[in-house]
Amino acid sequence: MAHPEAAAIRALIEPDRVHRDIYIDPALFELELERIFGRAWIWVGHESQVKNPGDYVTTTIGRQPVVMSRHSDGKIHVLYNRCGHRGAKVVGDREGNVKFFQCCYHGWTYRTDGTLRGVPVPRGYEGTAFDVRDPRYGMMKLPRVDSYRGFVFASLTAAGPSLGEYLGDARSSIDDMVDRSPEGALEVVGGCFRIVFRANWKIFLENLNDTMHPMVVHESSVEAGKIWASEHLPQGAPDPLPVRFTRNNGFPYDFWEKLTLKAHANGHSFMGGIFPPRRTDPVYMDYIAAMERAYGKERTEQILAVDRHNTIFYPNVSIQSGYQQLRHIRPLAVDRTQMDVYAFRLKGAPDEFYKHTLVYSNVVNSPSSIVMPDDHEAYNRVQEGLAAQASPWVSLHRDAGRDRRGDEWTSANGTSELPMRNQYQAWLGYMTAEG
Amino acid sequence: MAPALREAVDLGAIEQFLYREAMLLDEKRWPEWLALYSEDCFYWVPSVVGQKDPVNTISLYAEDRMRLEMRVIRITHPHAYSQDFPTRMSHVVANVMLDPENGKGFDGGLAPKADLVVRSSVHILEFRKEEQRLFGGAVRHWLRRAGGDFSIVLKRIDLVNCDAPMEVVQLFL
Ligand code: FES
Ligand SMILES: [Fe+2]
Repeated sequence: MAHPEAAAIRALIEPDRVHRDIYIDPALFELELERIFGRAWIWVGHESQVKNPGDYVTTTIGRQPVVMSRHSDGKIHVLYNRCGHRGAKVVGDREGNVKFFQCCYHGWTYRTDGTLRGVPVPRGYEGTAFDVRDPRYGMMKLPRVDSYRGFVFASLTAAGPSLGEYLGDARSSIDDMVDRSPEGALEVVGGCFRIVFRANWKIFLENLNDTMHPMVVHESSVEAGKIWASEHLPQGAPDPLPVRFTRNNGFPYDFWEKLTLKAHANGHSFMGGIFPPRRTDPVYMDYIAAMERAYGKERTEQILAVDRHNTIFYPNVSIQSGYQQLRHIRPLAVDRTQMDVYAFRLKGAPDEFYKHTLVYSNVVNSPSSIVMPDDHEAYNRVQEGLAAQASPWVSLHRDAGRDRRGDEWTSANGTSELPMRNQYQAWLGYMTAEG
Repeated sequence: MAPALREAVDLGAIEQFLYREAMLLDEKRWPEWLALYSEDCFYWVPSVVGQKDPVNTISLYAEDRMRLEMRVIRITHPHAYSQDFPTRMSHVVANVMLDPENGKGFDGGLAPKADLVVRSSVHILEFRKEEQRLFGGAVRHWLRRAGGDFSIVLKRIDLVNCDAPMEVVQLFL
């Protein structure tokens, strides 16, 4: 396929507006798979998903089927899920535990580090060019795999910045998520939600730090919580969790305005200063006590004072570090995206605390939640609306030109469209890089 | 369940009760539908096959009465944009029987205070905007006798596609 030249790609991104083609042009989507998902560090999973030797989970990077496994020596590998013989996808299940992988077609077997273990009737290969030790006939390893505090990332290309350089100071949001565990460790228990929407993957990323939408989009769930509380609870009674979790979205514009948005040179971003006063319910108090036992009062206070919501690691993963949630973006087509949503258990936190994490998942982040359907309606309608030939431009002008630039981070007031503008600068960087 | 009690149960009445629930869902008669559920009810749609527990692992629905009521307020709110074009549903309930296992191993450890457990199969046709979707699976109702009628203490719906990638689900199954 003929790819557009760098100049043509540059013409799609202006400092304060972007061309609608980036959401609707299938050729650009193909190029994104090659140049963004084919090059960037992509989150593939969490170490706790492969706790024991032989454990594996499968996922995709762009369209590449991959498997993350833990080998007998304890090391984690990310392998192409492709047989070295005639190409069958070796691992068929989503997750499991094996002594070795066996291809269903002609029975070649692979160790959990991807090396070829054996082929049936090997004498057929005697005197041929086939070499059982040649890694090309194994399940090949991805060129780069690295992890930060349990979060495993991989890249489809050998060249590029290290994981540390890629994350930069945005890693502090991962720290925030992990530090909130009294043992300094997270764990995925059970599966994830797999949610599909009919919109381009970038539309979701734009939404994550878009504070002008909650009041409008989420009015129905905000009202549901408020109305329920007013009908059932005495005035001034503490909000039950589902009401607390939905009410936030109804805060007035001047609340959002006062937040700080931070956008990172690599496309990452987060919003800070969002949380209402800390919870005081018995479960949360037990949790604080567990934290203080582990870290002491002062350090606990320091950890819990970090106040960030929706940190995006461009291009494919977003965490809500205070709510133990992670959303993994999997682009399926130019107008179709899958989002896998994980809830993490804070190791060492009281069991009841994790139940509260799942209340958040249930109320806000599940395909059948009362919050997300309205977001997805908006994403889908953006995709539908952009079919119109009206104007080719999508406006990202809000507070443009008023960003406060720093070395690594650029900051803005909470209702600025800085994070989106910043994402498209990163997009441009990936899409026009020589490769 | 003791054989005598089993005989005393009028399967016809149970069937009519389940059909009535299906009708109320299809016709979106939410207050009447909610009235079928007890104050201590739980509505559970697992997200994995054979799920053991609705509060320590993620579920598609894990709703107490409060959350059911919040959902009803939301989907009937004039600004529920994802219901601008309202979802329509048709439930077909079949294979109604007293659960031979009496719900054993399926109650998620909730130990519902029920008099009987009914098993059925459901096929749900759902339509919104351009497309229809089909859901289906095994349903278990934990029922309590309430006057001459029943009330639902726990409803568990094991969808055959519970762990599939899916677009949002807004109404009740
Ligand atoms: S394709 Fe896998 S063994 Fe032949
Ligand atoms: Fe939202």
